[in-house]
Amino acid sequence: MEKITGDLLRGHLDLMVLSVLERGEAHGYEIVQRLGTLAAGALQLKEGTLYPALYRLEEAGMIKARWESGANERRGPRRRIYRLTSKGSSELARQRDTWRDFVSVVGRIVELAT
Amino acid sequence: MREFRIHVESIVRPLCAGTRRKNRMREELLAHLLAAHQAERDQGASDETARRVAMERLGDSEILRQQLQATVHPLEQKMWAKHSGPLDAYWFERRSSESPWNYTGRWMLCMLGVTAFSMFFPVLFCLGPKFLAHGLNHDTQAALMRIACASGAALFASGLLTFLGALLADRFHLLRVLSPRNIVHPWLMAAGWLAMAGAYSGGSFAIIASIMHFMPVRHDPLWPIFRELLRMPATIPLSFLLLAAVFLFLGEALRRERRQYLDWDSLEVPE
Repeated sequence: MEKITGDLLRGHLDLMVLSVLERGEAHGYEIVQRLGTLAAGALQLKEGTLYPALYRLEEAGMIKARWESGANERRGPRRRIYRLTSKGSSELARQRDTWRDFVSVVGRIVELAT
Repeated sequence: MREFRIHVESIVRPLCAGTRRKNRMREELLAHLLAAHQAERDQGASDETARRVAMERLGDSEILRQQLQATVHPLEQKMWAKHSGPLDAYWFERRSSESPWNYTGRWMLCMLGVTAFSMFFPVLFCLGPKFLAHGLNHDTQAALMRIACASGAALFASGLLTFLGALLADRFHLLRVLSPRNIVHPWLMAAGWLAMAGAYSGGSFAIIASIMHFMPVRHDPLWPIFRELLRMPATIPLSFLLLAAVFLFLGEALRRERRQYLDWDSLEVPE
């Protein structure tokens, strides 16, 4: 299976992040790991691009962040934990519907054209 | 760790964004790199390979920088386009090669904001119901005029002192106490701010009192509020205690930000 990269990935990153956070709060690296696990290695995400997406979503009120508690016991820099807000949940539901419609329409066209 | 810090700093330092936001980005990206490095090591990669792969996984620095910059509000970008540093130093400290005139102007703008919050808004809040009930009567107008005159006079006095201070600092090459290089203990910082706030509010009240003397009104809508506040014996010590607690909290928060800034700023990052 060819890996999904670039614009195709970036265009849907927000939706994927929201979906991953629906399973529970997570810090940045954990989100990347969950994406990787769910995609079974088919995504080739430049991991840094996750953070601008997280900041955008946070600014839009879709997710909320807090510094990890007990960071002093763990050596190294603090991590920020992200969780989905109620606004994010409704946006996720809306985007899911749009995505299903999109896949159905584009899929039909692509399949019929061959 | 140092290599990761330099890599992160090379991405974040050129951004036009507030120090707090940049510190947050730095911490998150560094935590990410360390986690990626650990994951590579757990899979059996050598330390050097793990470091290289972790940085590769983060992606192209230039693209990431552009994407991070795009998440900063345009107003914040504009504010921090030319300067960087801790938040308090950004607003209140004299910048390198800034003229006394420029510094005084900037200082007065900052103090105008402080005055607006500390004086106008509480006063307007107190007068709000009166406005709604009776509109602006003569006494209210006169009282507001007095507040405006007093604030203007206090602002002018503060500007004058700042200008003279800047001239003296230039003349005698005085060290700047609030330099980003100095990390002041929160207690000391709180005490300094408290003294400044005390002098500022004391001066303002003295000016208000003298203006009240020269601009008497038949019925002053503000006076009962001041009188009731002054009647309570615990009001003044309590307000100072409250202010001290706020300043202490602010001092601690700013010290952390200042320390983080210095920590990252000391790194030599290739252009």
